[in-house]
Amino acid sequence: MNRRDAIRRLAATSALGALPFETLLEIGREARAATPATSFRTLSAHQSSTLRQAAEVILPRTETPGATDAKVTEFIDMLLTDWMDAEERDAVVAAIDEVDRRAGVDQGALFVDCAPEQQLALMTIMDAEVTELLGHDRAAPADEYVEDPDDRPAASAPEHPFYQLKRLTLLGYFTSEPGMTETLRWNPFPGRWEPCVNIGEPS
Amino acid sequence: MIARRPERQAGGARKIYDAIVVGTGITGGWAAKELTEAGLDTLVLEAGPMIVPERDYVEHVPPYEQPFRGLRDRRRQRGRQKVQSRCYACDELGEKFFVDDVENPYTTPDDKPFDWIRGRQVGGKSIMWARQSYRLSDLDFGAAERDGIGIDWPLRYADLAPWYDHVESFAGISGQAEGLGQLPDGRFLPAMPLNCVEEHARGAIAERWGGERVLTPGRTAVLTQAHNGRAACHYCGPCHRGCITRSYFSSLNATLPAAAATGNMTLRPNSVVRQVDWADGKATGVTVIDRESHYVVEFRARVVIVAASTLESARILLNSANAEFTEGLGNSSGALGRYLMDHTMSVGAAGTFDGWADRSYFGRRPNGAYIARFRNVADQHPDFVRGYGYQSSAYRPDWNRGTSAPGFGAEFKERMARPGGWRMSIGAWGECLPYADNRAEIDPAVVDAWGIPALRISMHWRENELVMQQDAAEQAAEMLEAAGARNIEMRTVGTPPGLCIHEMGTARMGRDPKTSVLNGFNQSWDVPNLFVVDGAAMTTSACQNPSLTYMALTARACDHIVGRLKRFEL
Repeated sequence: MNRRDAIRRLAATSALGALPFETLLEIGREARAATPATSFRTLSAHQSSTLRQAAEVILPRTETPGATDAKVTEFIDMLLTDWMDAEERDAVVAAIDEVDRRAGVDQGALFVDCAPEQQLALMTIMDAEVTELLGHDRAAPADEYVEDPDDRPAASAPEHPFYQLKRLTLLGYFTSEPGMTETLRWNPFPGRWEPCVNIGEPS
Repeated sequence: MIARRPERQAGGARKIYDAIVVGTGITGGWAAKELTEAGLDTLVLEAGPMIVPERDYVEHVPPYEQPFRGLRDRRRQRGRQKVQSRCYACDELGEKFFVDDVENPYTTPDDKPFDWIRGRQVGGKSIMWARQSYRLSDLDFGAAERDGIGIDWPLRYADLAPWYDHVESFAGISGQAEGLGQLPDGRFLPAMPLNCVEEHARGAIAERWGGERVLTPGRTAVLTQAHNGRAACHYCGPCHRGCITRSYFSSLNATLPAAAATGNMTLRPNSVVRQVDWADGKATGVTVIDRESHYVVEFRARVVIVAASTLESARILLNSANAEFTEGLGNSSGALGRYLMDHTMSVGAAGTFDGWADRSYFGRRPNGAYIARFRNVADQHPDFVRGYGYQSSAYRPDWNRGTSAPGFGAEFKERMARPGGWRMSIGAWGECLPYADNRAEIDPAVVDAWGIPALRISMHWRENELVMQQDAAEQAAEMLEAAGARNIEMRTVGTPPGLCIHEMGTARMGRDPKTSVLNGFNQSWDVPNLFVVDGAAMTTSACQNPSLTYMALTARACDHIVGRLKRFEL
């Protein structure tokens, strides 16, 4: 039941006019909270759990919110459903399945059943693979001639499953309200331009 | 078919305005202000709907309140805004200020893409413009006289300088005086200072090239202090979605309110002008199709000022052909629709800087730096004529760099919340020569949603533009190198014509009625009470962002109109 349904139901009982606005808002909140958290539109329950755990390893909760707090999995499911082409969508879903396959090969378990240190170990390996591919991409862009075809990696970085999940996790996190307001401390109204400020520490 | 309805005053008499202004963009807004302030009873027509800043501006909606977080509703844009979405400003929130491509078709030859970016609403593209404001100089106005290419402008800098003063004083242009002959200083509000890396680059370029190459804060129509009742910029960033504090110049923020305050303006949105009507040697008014009802209404005036944007103005005049002017109203020269120009864009270079790790900037500056033209100023380049200017900025990348950076986890998250290492990019805006067959004409097979014949646009870059672009990319890389940048990458392939949105020249001014559409006061050689004041009037493109020049030309033309009307000469 969404908020509109809640109000419609109340209206049908003629109670709407009698209720204070604050109460109506409360009802809306309950109605939203009552929506099952697993109502993903493209991802299966298992895929969404895998993605949720992977995203939380990439951007974990610290003193600032993590990927789960920022509803990164929900955002990615929305992109898969409403934004991506079928090909793009299939590639991301395959990337999630690939994380599971790799977990099976390396750790003998589904990703969600791996211990935190096993998840970390697997993702460290995958991140290193992406870094190596990025190095190849920079040295020899895919459309450039290389003398020995063996020098060209089988895939370029953007095709790597971890690259895809990391890209979408970063996007979903740093454009979310918790990511922008708490982690980035994004200021909607800076109010002035200061061309050269000391930010106190080297990056 | 609905019968035509002439507009009538109470009592049934035919209303005749002093002036009709077609369009409310940057030049229509200026025409409205100048004419109404001079006391003329002025009808201002706009093809699109009304924009109410308090309701329609969307610059303060954060990404997390946008359904696609700024990625845009891609499926909708592919269906309805395939062309418009190529413009950076046609984003998830800003897309409503761009036309629906299905309602507003045009055609091009298959091998000559042209991106026609359009805004149809009160304020036109002045809502989404990039606000860079530079004067032309006699290097530009005298270009044809010097190199023999194209026709001569019918005016010189001295004719326009007081009008640059006039429009700058009202609009508010921030910038820094440099005393350059090829890029005259204006009436500036305080500049937006360069950041530390840009300041360093300015010094390094000066050291290497002396006064020949100058990097200066961008000159922009954004207020750095309160001005004419408008507030100073608060540096929120996305100007192209509106500005509730009216801190950047647009028709909505500045000229139209001034025109409305006179009591002399009748503003009619949703008025798609079908044609300029003509009888006995003069324009009598315009025929309008109501955008919503499709009713046809005729309006009458003593003077008609067309300011519908370069290509729309040409289209209206081409569609106004009659028994006398079979090839388009005021087109005895055959130049109408021809000599279409745009600026070349997107070539240049970018690189990284190692130092200044503890330095950054505060605020989202709606501006950058500018490098004034240095080619073919004092000498002549062997490979090309005319020149280019650069827009540039140094910045520290945000979390977007994270996908290509190694790592993940808690430390990675905190690092991505901090700015990345400095980068600087330099991009060239190049002059386009006037070519007769870079042109727009009526496509007899296609009409828009109001049944009005659409344009067929045929334009491509020629050798001079392409050779110049190569040089511009190389010189950008050289300047970055001189400034000590590393990892320098050149970009030598530019965008197709149109996408710079500096299209101009389809009803050019000139000294000879045989080769130009307008005289030196934006006045039709053939129809003395018809004026075209937008980018269509440009004789050459120069390389500077042109809107400030359009404004100055419009104000000057309006002064001429008022004088002639008062002497009963129109």
